[in-house]
Amino acid sequence: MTSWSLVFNSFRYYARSHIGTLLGVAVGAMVLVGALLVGESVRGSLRGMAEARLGKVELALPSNDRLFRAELAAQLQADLGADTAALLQLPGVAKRPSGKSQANNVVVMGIDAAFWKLALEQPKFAEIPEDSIVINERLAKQLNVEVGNSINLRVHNPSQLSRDAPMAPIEDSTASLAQMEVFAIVSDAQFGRFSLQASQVPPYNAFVPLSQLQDAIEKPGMANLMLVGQAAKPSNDSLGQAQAALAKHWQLADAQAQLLQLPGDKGIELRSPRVFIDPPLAKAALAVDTNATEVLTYFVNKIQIGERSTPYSMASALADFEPGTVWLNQWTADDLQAKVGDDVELSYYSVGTMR
Amino acid sequence: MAEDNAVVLRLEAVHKQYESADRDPVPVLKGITLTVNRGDSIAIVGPSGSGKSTLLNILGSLDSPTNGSIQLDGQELAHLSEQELASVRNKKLGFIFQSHHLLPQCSVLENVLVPTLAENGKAPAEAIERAKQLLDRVGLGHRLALRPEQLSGGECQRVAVVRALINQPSLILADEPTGALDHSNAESLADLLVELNRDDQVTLIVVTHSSELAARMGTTHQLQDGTFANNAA
Repeated sequence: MTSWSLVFNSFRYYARSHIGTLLGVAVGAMVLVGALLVGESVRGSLRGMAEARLGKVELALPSNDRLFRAELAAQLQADLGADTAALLQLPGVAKRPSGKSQANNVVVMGIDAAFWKLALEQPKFAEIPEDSIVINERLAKQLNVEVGNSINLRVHNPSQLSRDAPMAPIEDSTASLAQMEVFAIVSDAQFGRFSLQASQVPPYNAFVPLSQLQDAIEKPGMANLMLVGQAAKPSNDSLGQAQAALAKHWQLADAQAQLLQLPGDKGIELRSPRVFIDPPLAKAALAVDTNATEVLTYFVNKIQIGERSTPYSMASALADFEPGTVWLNQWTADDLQAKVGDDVELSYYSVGTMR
Repeated sequence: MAEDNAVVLRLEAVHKQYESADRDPVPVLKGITLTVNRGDSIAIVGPSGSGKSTLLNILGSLDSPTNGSIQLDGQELAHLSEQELASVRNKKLGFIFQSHHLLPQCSVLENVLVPTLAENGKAPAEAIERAKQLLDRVGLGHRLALRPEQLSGGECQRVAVVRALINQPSLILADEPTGALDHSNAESLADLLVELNRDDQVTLIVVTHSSELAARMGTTHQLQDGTFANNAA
């Protein structure tokens, strides 16, 4: 008789309850290990998706409807020593010329050779030929196309004005690229899955030559997305360095603004094709010249005095005007038979949703 | 009576009280003094709540007195560590309970040898031989390989007695050893205890409600309100 024989006797005698306990422990352990493995697998999958989405991109400058000079990317690349690419990214629709298949919510990207350098795996080509298109596997499957087939693209033109603004043009705000030949179908690792937004479902990505897309929307030399890869000499403050380089090379054209000499040497006007000057830009301009004057010019439907009215005019507001007063130019005054002291009524649309 | 009247156990003014959070301490034993010589057989009787189990726990070093002294074979138990007390219980004390508490997974022989595992993890050869002899003596020599479930209640209690004797303890403590037995088996067990005490000078303290068993012991102490009321011989 030994202690071990006592242990063995006990185990054998209570084998049923021990086996039950062992089975419970085994099942519990299997569940935990399985959960850990699945969790590890899910973590791995999510990591893989993130890496496929972003490739070697470390920083991004998305400006959406606001366009900046595409050459800004090259200027930053020189300063940062990192691969940099400028893109024109627009929402669009793709369809077969036959109309048999279509994909909505397509992300159309105008790119150049610099873009592919940021992918995990570079495709065999560098540039996309003119009138050619590269798509990802998901879009190829949706449209049922192969290399050599043709695709028609329609992209939304970036609006300089909110489409809800009354003076925003109503006419078609899209541009088309027709009969684009499928040049290649890229995998996830080849940036087929590129996106700045996390999603388990890959987007419909379509890549076209940057210059061709710029011409299609009549915005030559412009981009709305910049990607920056890791610098040759990694830094703890890569963001700070990128921002410093951006500040160094930033021009008015990157804010879609310009300075114009007024006729008769009456001064300089700061103007934007976006119509309204953003508050930060206005504040910066005022800080430069304390004599600057802010002017708000707006479209008015009607200027009316009594029974007489003049339609579709422009009204400008200045800061140092006496409140409740209005000045009319001679033509308008003659048209309305106005005299000093008359009550003038201005009718205009205010900016809101749905125009 | 044994010729050698060496003192096996000595209690001097043993008090025991239990602390209570919401009331005054509850006294259970109020100055027990007892001397047990080798070969004595003592019965401790008393009504329920008189402190018999408390006294037995203190005698068996399973509890310690609030005041007073306990010496077993001249050794003061109050000065011992838990490990030392466990060793004392294993080597110098034998316990017989109302329920036999035999291990169902072990045979009769293995159950008897369990106390011998405490020292080295292995039953010595002489202990195995002694176990067989004792079991033979109590009439179970032919049932060594059987499991407790294959024995009667009386037979199980006899195995328990042998288990208590295997390490040749200085003192056997029995707490209602016949409480779970029928009359016939109770008598048989009482005969066995008396025989062991008489022939082998086994020192015996029995706590019992049975007047018949108490009457067969050499001395009876009546425990009442925490003290011995009388010393009936």
